[in-house]
Amino acid sequence: MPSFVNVEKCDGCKALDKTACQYICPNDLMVLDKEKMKAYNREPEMCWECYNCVKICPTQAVDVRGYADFVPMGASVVPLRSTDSIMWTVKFRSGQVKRFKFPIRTTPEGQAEPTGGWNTDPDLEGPVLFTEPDSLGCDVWTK
Amino acid sequence: MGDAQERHSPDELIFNLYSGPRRSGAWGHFSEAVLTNEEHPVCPHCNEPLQALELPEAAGWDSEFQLACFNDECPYYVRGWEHMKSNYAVNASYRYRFDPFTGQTTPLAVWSPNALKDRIIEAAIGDQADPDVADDGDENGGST
Amino acid sequence: MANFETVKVETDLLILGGGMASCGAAVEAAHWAKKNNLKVTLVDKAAVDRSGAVAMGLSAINQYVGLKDGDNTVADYVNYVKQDLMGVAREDLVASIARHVDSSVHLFEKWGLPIWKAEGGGYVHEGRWQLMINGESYKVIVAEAAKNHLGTDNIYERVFIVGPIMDGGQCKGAYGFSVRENKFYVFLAKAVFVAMGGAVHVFKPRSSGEGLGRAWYPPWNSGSSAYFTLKAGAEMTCQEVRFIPVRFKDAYGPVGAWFLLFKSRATNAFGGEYMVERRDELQNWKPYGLVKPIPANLRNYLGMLDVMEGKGPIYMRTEEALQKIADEYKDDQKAYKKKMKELESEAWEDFLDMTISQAILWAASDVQPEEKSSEIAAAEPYFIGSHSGASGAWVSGPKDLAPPDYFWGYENMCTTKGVFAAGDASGASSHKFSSGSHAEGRIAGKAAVRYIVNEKPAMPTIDDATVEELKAKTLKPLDLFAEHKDFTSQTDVNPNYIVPKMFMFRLQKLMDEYAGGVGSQFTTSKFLCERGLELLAMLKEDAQHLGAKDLHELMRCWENVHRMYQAEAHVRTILFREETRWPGYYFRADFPKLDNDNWLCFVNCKMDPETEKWEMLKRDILPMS
Repeated sequence: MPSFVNVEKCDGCKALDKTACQYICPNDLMVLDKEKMKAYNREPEMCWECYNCVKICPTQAVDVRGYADFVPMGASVVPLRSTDSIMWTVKFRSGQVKRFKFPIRTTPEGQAEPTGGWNTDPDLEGPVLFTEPDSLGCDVWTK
Repeated sequence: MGDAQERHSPDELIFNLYSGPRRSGAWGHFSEAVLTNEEHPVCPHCNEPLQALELPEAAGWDSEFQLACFNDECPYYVRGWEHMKSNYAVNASYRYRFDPFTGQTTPLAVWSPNALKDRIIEAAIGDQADPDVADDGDENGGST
Repeated sequence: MANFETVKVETDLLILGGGMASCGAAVEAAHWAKKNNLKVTLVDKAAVDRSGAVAMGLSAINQYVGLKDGDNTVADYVNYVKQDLMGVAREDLVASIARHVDSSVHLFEKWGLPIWKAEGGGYVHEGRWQLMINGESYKVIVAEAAKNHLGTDNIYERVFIVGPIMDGGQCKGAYGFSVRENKFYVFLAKAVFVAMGGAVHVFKPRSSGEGLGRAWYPPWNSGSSAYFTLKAGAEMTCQEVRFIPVRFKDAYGPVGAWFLLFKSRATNAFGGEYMVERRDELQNWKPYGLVKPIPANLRNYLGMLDVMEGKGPIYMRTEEALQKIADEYKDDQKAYKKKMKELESEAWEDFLDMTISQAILWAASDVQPEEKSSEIAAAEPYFIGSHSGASGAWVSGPKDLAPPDYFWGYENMCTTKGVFAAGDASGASSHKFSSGSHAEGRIAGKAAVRYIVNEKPAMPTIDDATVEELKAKTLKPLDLFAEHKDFTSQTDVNPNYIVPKMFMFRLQKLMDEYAGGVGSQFTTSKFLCERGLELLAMLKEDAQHLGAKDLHELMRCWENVHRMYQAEAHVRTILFREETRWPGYYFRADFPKLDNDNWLCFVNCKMDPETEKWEMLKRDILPMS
């Protein structure tokens, strides 16, 4: 199934009511099986393979297996996300491995300052938005 | 490049630009190129003549051509590789690009030394106006 | 009825949806609300950090105008959009977004999004309007700024909005339910902002097994914006303009980098290049076919002609593109191998930032792009007013840009007072993408606050009887399932209810066969549309018999009801417009030509929320005043 949970690694988010993967899935697919205390994907055919469950899992228990109706078997793409970068390990069906690393943000987590430092005070009437015109770098265009 | 031809960087040429009606839209009304045939634009980073190139359609520019610096020794382009690698973890650089219709310039991403070179249109601007300097076209490269 | 607590929330501005447009509205409205002592509430059916179309990340920002450096003008962008949409676009709305979008992009950079910049500080462009980014955390960063400004106390996550609370023609707020606990929600508000995405899975997709999930646009776009504005009695526009992306087949990975950066060609199985061989066809779509850039739907159409003639598969000639680039090293084996590796890396990166499934497919197929081409194909249709589709609500333009016919008090306000729309929810303003949707959300968010401050609407009230009625209607699928599930030995096959997955398949099949889906080669006609409407009418009746076993399925039931209304708006509009204007998106076999004499106009529609009777109308395309 698109995203799936490795039962050896999953600890059901240590018996909390909600699991991290359940918290983040944009399509409400990941859910905790309260009897097994393991998470699972309840509707894999609605999985976009967005990888948010994979990235958020604190024990790296979630992985993705390509859609069985058109993806040949044997490959995997595994992310390792840190506070400012992400590393991808791509394993081919042939066994070949590639790794990539990219930056993901330039500011510390949690600290996006809404004004961006541009503290202007435009009027409620008219088209000038908050932080403008400074955040635009020029006057707001009009005809 | 013949010595008779004066060189101007595109920024210097701003004041000489044709200031008539800008491109008025996509219904085929292209205004004159901003540079006339007497001026020959050069790269402000390395002083080499710019070359005209036709960008892929998907790139979005509706003008017939753009100008860019394809000098592989241009320090701006050379430094670009290290700049992109250390800041964005990517093997790419950028060419100095100049839009002859608007006078504007933004860096154009390239993935290799030869990227976009096969889109170079003949010689650089200005050569056709003066048959005596026709050789400049070959000197400046042309297609791969 | 299952025992659901009713939660009533009163707020001044209600923001529905948690994607790019809503995060724009939230970060903007928080400022104005603070100044004017107003309350702002945001409701998302998922978690704002990763909800919406940017959940996976993006590899590029596709709308940046570059006004401060004079790179382009607002007029340039307006012309580009109008041309790409074959002349059908709201100049005032496109200009309104284009004049502000750079501000959102600059804010993204401050908030922490890595945008490629050359030394000296200029953004590195992929194309005229496109900036390169490292966008894995794009949504996280944008959501963070919105949350920091609005305050998480004002945000409800995992609450699904069913529809508007209407009283006569007035919209009093919205109602919905929690997807996590047994709670029914009533949100009362003085103004409502709608940005709950476009619509996916209205048509039968190419992959119908597990691959159903691999839509080009995310599957959680279920037409909720369209349903909301329709049920609020608002006028809708461009409901015929669906989008068909041409992408790498099946996994739908992006082709932009291949066309733009690697300069690949796309050829048919015989090696022929349809963009060259079929150039003459563009004469039939004058004037739009003759100007650069050629509209996306016409580029699609040329490729479709090849496919219909049996010249497929269509290939992205990756091997040719990479070979050309690496050719200069062919005398040095080591350098050649190194260069090929680097180029291949770039190709993989593009996928990993936004369509990881394409990376999986290539890895699983042992694809070596420098050795072998990969197939590209037209996907199934999508409703996406923020991209190359145009469907959405018909909204007012801004006072200084809109001609009188397009202005009714507040920018981005629907024809229903106090209801605002942006992003995929607002129409006729294509090519906003992520940054433009955020900017449009800000524009609408500010206008909504201004509306509250100037008009001083009273806080709406709701009586208990109405609450109970809405609650019963919302929870009915749960009740129906509970009542009848034990009638058969298996709960999924039961004559008393239809499960949401099958309801969706039924909708998808009829749209595919009658409204120009993949199975019909995107072709329809008057008779096909009319038959489609017959089947839709029966489907609508059967919607009363949807059954849900749990909260997740209840959400699916309502999402598919939303899809059904988007479908109906679409079929009625493609029927009404008697011409073919976007042949690469859909084709009217009975009116196969462009007809600028009669149809260079908007086709709008309105649905009476009570009788559900439809009114179709033409509106003039006016330039900015």
